Amino acid sequence: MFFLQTVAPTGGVTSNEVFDRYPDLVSSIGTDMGAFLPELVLCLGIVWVIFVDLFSKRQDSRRPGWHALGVLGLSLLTLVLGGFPSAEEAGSLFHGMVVRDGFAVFMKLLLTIGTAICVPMVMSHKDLQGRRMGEFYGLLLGSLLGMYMMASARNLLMFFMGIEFASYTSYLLTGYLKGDRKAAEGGVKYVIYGSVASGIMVYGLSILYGLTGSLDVGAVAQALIVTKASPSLLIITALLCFAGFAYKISAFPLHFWAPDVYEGAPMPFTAFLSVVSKAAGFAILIRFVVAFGAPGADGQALTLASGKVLDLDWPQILAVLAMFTMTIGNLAALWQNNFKRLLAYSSIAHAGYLLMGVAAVVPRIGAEGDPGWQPVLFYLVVYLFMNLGAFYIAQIVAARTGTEELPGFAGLGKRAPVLAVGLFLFMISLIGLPPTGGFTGKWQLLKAAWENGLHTLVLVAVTNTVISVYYYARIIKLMFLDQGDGEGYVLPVGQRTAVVLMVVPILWLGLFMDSTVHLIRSLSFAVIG
Amino acid sequence: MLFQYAHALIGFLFGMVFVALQVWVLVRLLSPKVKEPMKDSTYECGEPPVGDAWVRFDMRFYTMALIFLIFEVEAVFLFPWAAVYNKLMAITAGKPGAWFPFIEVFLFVVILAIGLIYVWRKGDMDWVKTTMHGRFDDKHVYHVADDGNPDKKSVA
Amino acid sequence: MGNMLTDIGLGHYLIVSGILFTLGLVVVMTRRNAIGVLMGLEMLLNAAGINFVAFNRFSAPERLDGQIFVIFIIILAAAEAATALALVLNIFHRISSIHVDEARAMKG
Repeated sequence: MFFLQTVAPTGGVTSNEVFDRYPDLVSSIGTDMGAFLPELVLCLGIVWVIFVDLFSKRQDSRRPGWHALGVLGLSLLTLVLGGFPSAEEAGSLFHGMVVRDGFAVFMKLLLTIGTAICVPMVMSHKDLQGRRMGEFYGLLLGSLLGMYMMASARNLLMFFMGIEFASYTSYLLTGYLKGDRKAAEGGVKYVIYGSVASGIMVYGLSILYGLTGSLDVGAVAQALIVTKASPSLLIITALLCFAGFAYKISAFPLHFWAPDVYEGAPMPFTAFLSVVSKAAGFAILIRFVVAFGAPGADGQALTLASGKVLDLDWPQILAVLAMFTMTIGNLAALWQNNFKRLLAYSSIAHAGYLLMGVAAVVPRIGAEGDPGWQPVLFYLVVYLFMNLGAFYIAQIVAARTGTEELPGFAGLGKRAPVLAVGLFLFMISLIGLPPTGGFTGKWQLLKAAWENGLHTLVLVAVTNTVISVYYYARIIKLMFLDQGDGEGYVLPVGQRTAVVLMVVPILWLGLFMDSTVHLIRSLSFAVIG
Repeated sequence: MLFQYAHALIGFLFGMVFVALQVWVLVRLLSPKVKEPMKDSTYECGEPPVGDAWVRFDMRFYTMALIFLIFEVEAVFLFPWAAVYNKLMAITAGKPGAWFPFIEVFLFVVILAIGLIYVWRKGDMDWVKTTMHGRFDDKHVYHVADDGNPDKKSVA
Repeated sequence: MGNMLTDIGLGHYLIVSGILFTLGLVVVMTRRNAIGVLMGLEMLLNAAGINFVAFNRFSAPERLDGQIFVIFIIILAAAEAATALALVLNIFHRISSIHVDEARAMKG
């Protein structure tokens, strides 16, 4: 029984030794707080929004919404004023708990903008009227805070904390409509599947910690290069860890919660889940993958790329997952009649496309020059606007017709041309046709995958795009060719402006993508390890 | 050293096999197959169960338990902090941020206190919050009153 | 070589946590009762907790990372239980059942 005979090292650590090792334990935390300002603003904002609602005399469900927007604006302002840290400025805060680099700032900007678009949707949602909404906005901002942590974590503890913080608030928001049976069901399903996935992930993290003796992602990756652990154990560990990420981005095989949760949740939060939550999931996945691809300290072979460590061809594994994810999403979407459910499967398919971008980049991580995250990040930007736009219009239509089923869209072209044209453009973009951002985004993803030798994956992705035309075009046909009942209506100016504001970025990204591409290319990645 | 990390794998696999053996194999092999109604009773020992095992707890206990959670969480984090507090203060004395160890935990407690204030203000701390005003009549039957309708439901 | 039964080493802890993890998985997959599933979930988290403490002691005793991680696991498990129970109570009020497979208003 050789394996039972590990004798515990005597001694251990005393707290004095810890303090000797970090003489600047306290003073550095003070200086790091400056770079942590957006998070601090959100922390205070959460408490503020809840208390504004709690202590206000009048019950006004919109009022905390304005305060939430203010908090988001302030957070956005601190992010913008902080700027994108250059490659020299990039580093970590709080003794290696949090990363400060261009990628983190970019993802935080994206997440904040996405949340800020969802807030007006919440304010105008009819089921969420007439109740105290301070808690809703507090939880929404809390979820965003967790996602900030996901975007900038470099310690396994922060990974875990970020994912869990974002998840718990999401569970509660899904079941927020207390009287609604679908919401109750969606909430329970989400909390059970989600917690099991994260429970499995944390077991994987614990083995990772045991193998490497560190929680710092960089140190973990470095230790894995020289580890003598058996490959089968490493594969098990990798699979356990991947469970957490896969569930967050709703990738195969942990995608099955998405349709029920999306259908049950209130529409604005469905939009939030499908876009913001997914973007955060990809942020943490990218962060993880980048750390494991960093070159070894003594110039050893790359961890992931060489396939030496885990003895597996990781790009191919990710490619297969991407194929399954997009195919399952698209095929299941064909039969859907509920708009939210349709977009749920569509968002699973889009997770597949994005995963294709990740798979394409993996072989290049750690090599000289730009690893090429740009297609994935660009597509996340496009996806943010097109999906939120589609949900926004669907919410207006659902409020008018009283149903979230597809027949509610019949004849929309006659009743409300602005909405119909807007939704048409978003659908075109979701399919991936010019002149929209969906086209340029998907083109870049396909190109990256093709150039990195994932030819089969590219073929599958193109086939999937063709399949997806069917169900997106079905909505377009309903809107313009079918007769619907109901009278035409004039949109309020606010709604019309909002639709235009969402359409403009889609067209802009489709026609003039260079500036955005350039910005994303210039983002710095902190070297972890 | 080759098997340095075999522990983790063997532990994991042993756990898997052990449980699978228990749940699916050993039970089948060892347990006697007897089909009779008494096998389905709760304790299988001749003692008939009294009442339902699903005792309904009052919702108010649940709320109280959740509020208790605030303080439980507080204690778990305060304990390690208290263990090193003196050393921390000695090290930071005279440097910028000398009071940091104190302020840090003070903020932590304040945030938890905010949660408590929220609960308090929402009225979840009030023990009597329901609209039910029951009473026992002279036959020891409890009448639950809903909206001023005293005999709507009665529970023996 | 010492006595396997008296010299408790890393392997012993890992076997316990492996058993606990697998039991948790079996419970999560086989129980219909939502509360039962949540109990299985606690087993998963605590299995990871045992791993962290054991590894901290045997593999990396120079820092307290693993023990700190366990404190956070405890906190998150508590928060998770509160969240999940609130949602389960919510659905119990709706359908008077906490069996997971009776939550089937949505399909497709």
